[in-house]
Amino acid sequence: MTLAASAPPPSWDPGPAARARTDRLIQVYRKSVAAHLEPLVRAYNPSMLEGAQTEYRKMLELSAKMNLVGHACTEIFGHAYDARRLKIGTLFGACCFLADSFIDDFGEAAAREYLERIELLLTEGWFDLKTDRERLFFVILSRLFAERDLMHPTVRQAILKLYAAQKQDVNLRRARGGPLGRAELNLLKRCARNRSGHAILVLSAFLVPELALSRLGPMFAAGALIMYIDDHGDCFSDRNEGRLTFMNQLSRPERSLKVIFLSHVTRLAEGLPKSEGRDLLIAFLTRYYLTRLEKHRQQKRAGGSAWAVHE
Amino acid sequence: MSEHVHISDVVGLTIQELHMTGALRGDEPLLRIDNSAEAEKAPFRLDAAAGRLHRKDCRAIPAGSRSALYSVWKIGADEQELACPRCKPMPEPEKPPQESENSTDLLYGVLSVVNQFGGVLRERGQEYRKSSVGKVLSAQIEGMYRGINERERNVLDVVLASLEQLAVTIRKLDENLNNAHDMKNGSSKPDGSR
Repeated sequence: MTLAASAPPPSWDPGPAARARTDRLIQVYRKSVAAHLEPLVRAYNPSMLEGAQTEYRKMLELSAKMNLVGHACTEIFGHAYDARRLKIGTLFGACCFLADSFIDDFGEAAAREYLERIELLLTEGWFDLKTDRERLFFVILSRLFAERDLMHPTVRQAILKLYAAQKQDVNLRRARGGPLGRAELNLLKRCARNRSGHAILVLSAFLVPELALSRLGPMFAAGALIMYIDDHGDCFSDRNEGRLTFMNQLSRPERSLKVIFLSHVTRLAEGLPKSEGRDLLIAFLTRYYLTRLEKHRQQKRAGGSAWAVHE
Repeated sequence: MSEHVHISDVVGLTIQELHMTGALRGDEPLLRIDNSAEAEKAPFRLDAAAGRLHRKDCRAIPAGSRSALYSVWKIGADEQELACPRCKPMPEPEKPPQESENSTDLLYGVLSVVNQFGGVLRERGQEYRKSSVGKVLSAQIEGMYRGINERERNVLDVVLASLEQLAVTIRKLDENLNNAHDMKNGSSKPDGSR
């Protein structure tokens, strides 16, 4: 799948081998994440496995994607993606899914209460457990933390900055009357950048022993691009729920996203040394971009639902 | 206990539940991930959004990058290509103040000791204080405790309180496991009587 079949491939295009590798790995990870997560869900939050299991399947899909991104990040930092790293990628994906659900799915008050409790967890280590979902989240988080020296300064900073970005998102996202000014739009854009930019650094920090400073900038850009793409895909469901994002406030979002996509993948191609990891990351981002353009178009035709499971 | 339920899961959940119910004494933190105070003192900042390295107070750091700054304690010669042309950060010979340690090794060490001796730590301490050797040492120990500064005393108090919290947790865990074991073996009561 390319952006324009008849045009010559752009300089950042990793080529058919990287695209084939992406297709192959995502299939592998879709199967392997269930082997890690199903027993945990069954033990701590079994209701997630009842009925159509839509939420559970969304969690698996996100974890599979996190493994693909984690695989690319690990290779970019010069390591091999082994079984332990697959476990870390899976736990991280499930952790992100559950954290997002606390923020997005239970109303404004629950989102703010969750943020307060996470702040206590980060500053004192205590986390009030009220529901099975929270127990599952805590166990997954504990297992993730046990895989890494949590006292490493970069790990701690990345986690804190991700938390700050989530908190800012909750504060900004409620729709206000009237159109947004340029300053507000820029704030939303930075918030989206930070949410996923810091998330990819947290994931990388859990996967490799040291993050080379020269790779942090391009990796942060890759993370930011994921959030812009994601928000474009969720444009209509977010609007339906009164949630402001940078992408759903643009008058011509598809055109803007193309500009953002091209500038970010060019930065990745130029800012990272040639490697299989870099090619895998760009191939994944291209695939994600194209599938989210299609999701956006589908939702525009049919009306958005946050609960459809998309690739 | 299911094969997929690890003892570390149970210990972690039990510690949190004990804290929620107020069963743990004291208000000391269990774990502080927030290192913003230490990070503030680091000499360099990496602007992750622009991929540029600055000195801490460089005025060329864009306002939009403030939320993407990572504190850096030490930079290598090969990172000069990231250096801001205005503040020109240079490698320094000093080491970062936070040496990373393998905290899980320490935790397992503490767990193994507490698991073995946790239930009698305080009682043994009181007995030891009254013994002839303890009486000789007590003046030195109390003198040492008075002599250390407030920060060191806080650290020591947190460590000791954590030991006590771990002892409570592991005792409770041990009771639960024994109960589960007894039930599995056909006993309807914790003491095994019918």
